[in-house]
Amino acid sequence: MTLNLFSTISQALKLQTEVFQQIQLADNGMLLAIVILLGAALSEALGQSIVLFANRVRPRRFIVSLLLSAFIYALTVVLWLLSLWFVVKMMFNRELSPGSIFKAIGLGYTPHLLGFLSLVPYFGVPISTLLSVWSFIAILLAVHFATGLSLFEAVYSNILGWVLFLLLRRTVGRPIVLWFRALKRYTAGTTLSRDWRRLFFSYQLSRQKKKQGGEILEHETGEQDIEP
Amino acid sequence: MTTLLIVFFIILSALLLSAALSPLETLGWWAGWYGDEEDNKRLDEALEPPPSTPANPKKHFLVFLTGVHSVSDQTYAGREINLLEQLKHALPDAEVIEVFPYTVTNRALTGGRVFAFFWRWAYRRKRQGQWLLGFIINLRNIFQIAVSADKRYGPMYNQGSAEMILRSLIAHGYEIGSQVPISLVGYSGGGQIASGAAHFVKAQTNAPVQVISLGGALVSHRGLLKINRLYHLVGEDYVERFILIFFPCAGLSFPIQVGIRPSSKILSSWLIWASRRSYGAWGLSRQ
Repeated sequence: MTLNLFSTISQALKLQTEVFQQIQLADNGMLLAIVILLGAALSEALGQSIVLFANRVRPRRFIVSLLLSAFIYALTVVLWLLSLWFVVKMMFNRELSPGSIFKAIGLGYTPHLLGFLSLVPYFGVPISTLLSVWSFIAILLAVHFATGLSLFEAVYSNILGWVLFLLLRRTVGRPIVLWFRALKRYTAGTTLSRDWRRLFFSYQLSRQKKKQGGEILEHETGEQDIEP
Repeated sequence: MTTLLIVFFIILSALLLSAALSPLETLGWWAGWYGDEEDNKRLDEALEPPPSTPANPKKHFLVFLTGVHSVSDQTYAGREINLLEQLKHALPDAEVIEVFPYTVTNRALTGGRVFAFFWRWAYRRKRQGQWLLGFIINLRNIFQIAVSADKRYGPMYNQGSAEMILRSLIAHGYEIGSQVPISLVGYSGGGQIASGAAHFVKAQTNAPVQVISLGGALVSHRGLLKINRLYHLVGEDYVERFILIFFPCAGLSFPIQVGIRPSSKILSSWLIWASRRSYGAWGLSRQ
């Protein structure tokens, strides 16, 4: 059995339960999950690209930074689903392949294909929250059908999986997080600040430097590295 | 029924997509991807004393920001033209300047843009009575009001609007540091742009700045407490209530946004809120 990409997306967005069962059995289930997850990652990266604009990242660096953000997003999801797989295996004693969980979570991320809509002015933040809730429900259904856990157990395992992921990230994963942060800074060519006062100061400084015909030096912006 | 749903879905998708694309001009301008370097240079030079051009002797500068129906600074509605003529006649000591506020790149919709031909065509058809094209023009400009009101984009957009207003002031002989008062008169959506840009203008000119909103969409109010005076004039029609359809948080969040401040400002804020609720004409002074 093979599934069509667009009808799968459409059914997942409508939270139709059959599609969460079908993706586990479909020959192209893994491929669909990968495509949906990468699409969602790119869309979310686009939605968050305001940070790159605000820090005045140049167009070429912008594209590379966008792709890097999408890659990091997708990688984060993969690491999280491995934590979830571990929790399901150890706590509920279910014999499942990581591939089954990947298909479920990949499909559960379908609402994040609309992540770019967080760019919408004024309504962007509520839209982003709505997408997260929508996706959470989709992931619960997907885990429920992939693992045979009850919905309550699916919620429980999701929370535990997330806690385990955060613990790993803040302990053994810390060097990797720092390395990715440095990589982001390197590709953007500047620190990625979200502090408006610093950004405004940086803007005024760049105007002054441009007027004087000089180049703006990174340390002159006084920016701190604040994680996006 | 299915056809209706498909049409609704297509319209909703088009609206969401165009809304998502609407901040890109502001973001690109802020990032320095485009914009007029010569304009910036002139502004930088003018902000530094001594001024190179002779100062305009007028005692007041009034900047008029047009409503959402416009595509450039020369396409005002009849009522706007009448108002400006009456203002010029009644205020001989004031310099009246007109600005198109729905862009930060100092370009009208009808000139210097990839889709300028479309906006020219839309405007021509609108003048011939095509309401749908008029609605598209309005919607495009309403999205820019949303950009100005958004917490993420607002500081960038309002800084850009303020620079555009400053350029116009300087082009009309305003001397930075002269303390000559400035009034920003915003009609319809121009009210939000004026209120957003006002405190940036005040910071750059160090002059008394007041905002006069003519049925304005005062959607975000963060900068208003830093200006000298605010007037908000509304009529008996439903225009102001209509704004709440597009920006439902405008009415609800107003006291929350400006209320959590020192006590004297809290009073001012509640006065604004109470006045707004009564749908009357009012003025407020912090001097």
